[in-house]
Amino acid sequence: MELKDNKRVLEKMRAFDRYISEHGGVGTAPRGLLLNYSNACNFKCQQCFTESPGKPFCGTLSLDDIRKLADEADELGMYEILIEGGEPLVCKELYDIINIFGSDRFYIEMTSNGYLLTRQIAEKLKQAGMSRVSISLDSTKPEIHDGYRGVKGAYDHALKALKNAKDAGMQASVNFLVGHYNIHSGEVEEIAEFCQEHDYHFSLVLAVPTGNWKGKFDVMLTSEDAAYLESLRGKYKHFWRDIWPPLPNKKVQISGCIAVNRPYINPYGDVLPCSYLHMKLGNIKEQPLKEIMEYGFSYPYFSEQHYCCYAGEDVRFMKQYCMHDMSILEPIDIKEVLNNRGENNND
Amino acid sequence: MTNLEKYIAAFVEALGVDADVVNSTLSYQSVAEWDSVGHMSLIAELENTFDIEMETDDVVDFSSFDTGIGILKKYGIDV
Repeated sequence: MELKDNKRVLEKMRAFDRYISEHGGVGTAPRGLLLNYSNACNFKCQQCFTESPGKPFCGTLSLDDIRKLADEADELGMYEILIEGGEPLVCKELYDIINIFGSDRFYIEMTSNGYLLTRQIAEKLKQAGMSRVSISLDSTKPEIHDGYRGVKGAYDHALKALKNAKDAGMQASVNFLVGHYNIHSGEVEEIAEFCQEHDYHFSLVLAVPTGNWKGKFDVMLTSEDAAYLESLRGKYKHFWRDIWPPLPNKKVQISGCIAVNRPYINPYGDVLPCSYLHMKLGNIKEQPLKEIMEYGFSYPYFSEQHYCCYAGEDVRFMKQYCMHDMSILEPIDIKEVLNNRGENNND
Repeated sequence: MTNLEKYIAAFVEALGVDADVVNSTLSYQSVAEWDSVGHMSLIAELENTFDIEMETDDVVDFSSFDTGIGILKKYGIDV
């Protein structure tokens, strides 16, 4: 169903936007979910933040868990479901998951490396209810993209995947990893021009010092880098960052970090504030999602407005709290991470 | 500025199209710029321009230049 005609999704999306206008930012409004049902992947990316295995992976989430999660998310007013991996297209339950969430009540998106996204698969995804496909692209130069991704031919497949997604009637978007190391390389502008030319959206994904890049704080954006991205915002159409409002909003330019507003669910059902902060808020098998969200927002770090991305821009936060031996699959209890450091105590 | 001029300016600003295509022939998806995302920009621009908040049914029904004029009437805006 077209977003324009999807009354239920529009209502939830506009309610989120109204909250932003009234509160000056995302505050404690639930936005959506990032779901990593299976962490298996067919690539070996240098910068992988999930340390995805290149072999079959078995989490403990079941489709019954997803049914419960979908109902709870809808009840909370969440409008967006972003399916991640690993690589979602190697997950055999993908179509069941899309069906359970349902395009009549959620805007369903997927992040993929595009290698398996043929024309037939794109049509099947569209038919199942997928609205948007984001394909990761690291450069406009094939050898650079393939080098980062660890797979020869990855670039050509990514370009075909974007076209297949668009031709099938889904919104096609490029995910580009930007950090201090490449912000002035000219690649952001090159990819933006490429997206304009092909009518693709452009999502900026920030390089973070976790996963395979654990401890590499020099990849993080500086405030000058973030200001530079702001300067490009008006220049290109459909140029997105997660800290910007998801709908055009004249009252609020920066809506803030969406950690907890759009939490991350790992293949065991653990709930993390986002993909990059590997702190455990709870588990969907053991508690209602509402309770887990409220617990997350009981920490001022997440309930108060933060106008930059913790994981990609706030070096102090990441140095202080994210250098434990933590990962997507083995997050550490948030209480242990934040309270034991003597700050932001919510007790 | 008349309401008609404001109405046309909202399309130009939100969709990034030339003013000369903003007329009775313009409808949803008749130009590449008026896609689902462009639609949300247009609604936001109109709400801001006329200081109104549209009901979701009207956001869904707003499918052309002409139907938009009828919908704005509901909010007391005569274009």
